[in-house]
Amino acid sequence: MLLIQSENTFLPDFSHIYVESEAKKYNLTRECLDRFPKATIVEISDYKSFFNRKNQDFQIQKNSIKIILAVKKPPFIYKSTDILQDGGFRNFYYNTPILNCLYNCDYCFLQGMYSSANIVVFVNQNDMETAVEKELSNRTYVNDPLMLSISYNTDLMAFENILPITRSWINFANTKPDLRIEVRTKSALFNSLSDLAPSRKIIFSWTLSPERVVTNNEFNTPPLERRISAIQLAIKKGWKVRLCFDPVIIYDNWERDYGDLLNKIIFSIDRKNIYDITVGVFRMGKDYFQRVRKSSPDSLEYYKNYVVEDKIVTVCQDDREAVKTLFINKLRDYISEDKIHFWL
Amino acid sequence: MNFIFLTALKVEALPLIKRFNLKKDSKTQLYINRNISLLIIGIGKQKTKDRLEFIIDLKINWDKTIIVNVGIAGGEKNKTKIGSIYYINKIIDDKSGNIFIPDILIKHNLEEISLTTVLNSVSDDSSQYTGLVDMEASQIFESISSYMPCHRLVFLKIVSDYMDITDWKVIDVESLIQNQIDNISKVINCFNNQNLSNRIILENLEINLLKEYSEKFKLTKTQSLQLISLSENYKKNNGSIDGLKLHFKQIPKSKKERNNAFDTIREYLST
Repeated sequence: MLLIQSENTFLPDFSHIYVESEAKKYNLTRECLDRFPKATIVEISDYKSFFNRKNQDFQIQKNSIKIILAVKKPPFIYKSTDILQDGGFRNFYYNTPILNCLYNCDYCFLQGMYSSANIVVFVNQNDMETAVEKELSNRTYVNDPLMLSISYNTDLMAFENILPITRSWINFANTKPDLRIEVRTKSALFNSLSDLAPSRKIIFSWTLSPERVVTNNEFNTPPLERRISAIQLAIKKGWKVRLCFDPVIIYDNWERDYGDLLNKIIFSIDRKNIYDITVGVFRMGKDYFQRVRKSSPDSLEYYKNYVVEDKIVTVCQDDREAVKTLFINKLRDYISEDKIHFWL
Repeated sequence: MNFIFLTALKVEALPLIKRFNLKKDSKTQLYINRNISLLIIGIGKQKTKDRLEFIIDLKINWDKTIIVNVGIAGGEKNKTKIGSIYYINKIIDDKSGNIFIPDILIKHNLEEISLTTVLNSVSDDSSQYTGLVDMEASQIFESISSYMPCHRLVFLKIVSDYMDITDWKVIDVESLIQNQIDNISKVINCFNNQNLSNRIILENLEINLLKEYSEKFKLTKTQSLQLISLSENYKKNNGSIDGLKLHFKQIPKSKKERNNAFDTIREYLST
């Protein structure tokens, strides 16, 4: 035998940190490098030349995720897209303090959006804050607050033990009367923020799925019970919480699993403290979907029968109706219907 | 996994040829023993480019191939040690300024360093370069990265000099490589991991069969693409597309018959 078959030889996550030359002077860079003193540091001139390289394997890179520290160039803030739920806010924006996620949910659009699974942290937080201030002055609906989703292309709270970026944004929001912030997450790391005084300006949105979906589709994410515990802690501390059932994954007996999930939520989370609920099904831009599919992922989600509507790949109308019916029936006595937003 | 060593010089190749018992294939000029091959690419970017075009034409199964460039390099005097082996984590092309970064996902025990690929050998101006200097790596990365992902490109360099030598004959290249052959073997063993290969749903045989079916039934281009896509779905969900052959037994005699037959096939594959 010429060679020995090797197994499990991947380097740990963050074994390497790639630092843009321009990013070296920022505090967040220093903080990150201090956090990983054993990491190999590789200086790069422009993060895009590394992050956007051709012929990367997103799923294999997920075995050993690297951090890229970079300086973001404008735009620093984006208006909402059609595929993003605005939760009824007319001035709805998102920004991207981080690109990519520690988790690896198989239905996530990030694997179609980016060619790399590595995580880009933009270290020039001040520039992003300045852009938000400017947009606050220029927002279309002056009597409405500006809602900013800071966790659109990542799960920011999952990163909180590495870099306290969510905390920074909450502190920033507390100085701006017309700013609201949504932190969408699957993380159980709320305790890393539990010392902060609760603010009505912040909405923590937890995505919840049946344990079967957590295990089969939401790789590396905390179990359902830990997410529920994090929600309970947030509520106990006085924060507003949005519950997201998005996407609802369709499979044999999905109704039973989601029914059980909703029973558990109704039983364990006091309705008075729920800001609202959003419900959606699997949907992905056709281009992203094709890109993911081309990489022959292990996930079965890309080998199901879908419909394409307005360049969005999604589940068929019958399944969408079934999702809506299940959630309305189950939640009827829990929360008023106007507080349930469907993305179907 | 399949491994292809690339060396610039024959003397760099000799320890690898001995270690892995490689035999020269007169047709391809590759030294081969089962899943390990070696190609001598010559010195400099142009020769490298030409030789790599040759192996690209060989229709190698890139889905599970690892390219390993092994060779000597000049080293920065204060940061490197003659005879030491380094794992390259960044390659700078001196002429274009382009930077190439291999994905380093696999554990190894070597020190990492950056490398600059230059057009001409450096013998009197080492202070200009940080890390190591060679004459091929950037071209290897540029040529090969179109065919395979960055995590299957490995560059291992052994410091032969501090860029201060004019008479290259004084360097015992073969011994430098020979002294690191165990370290090279260890790295290669770490990469002998099926998880690093491309994920395949339909094997080449199955794709060729589907193409045959398409031709036999005179399917339209759209139908042919749908057939492949639906077959992928079916195989992922059911494990095999063997049952498909029953649907391609009777050749349709008209477009209408073909379309009806294809509707039946589509229905079968969608279940």
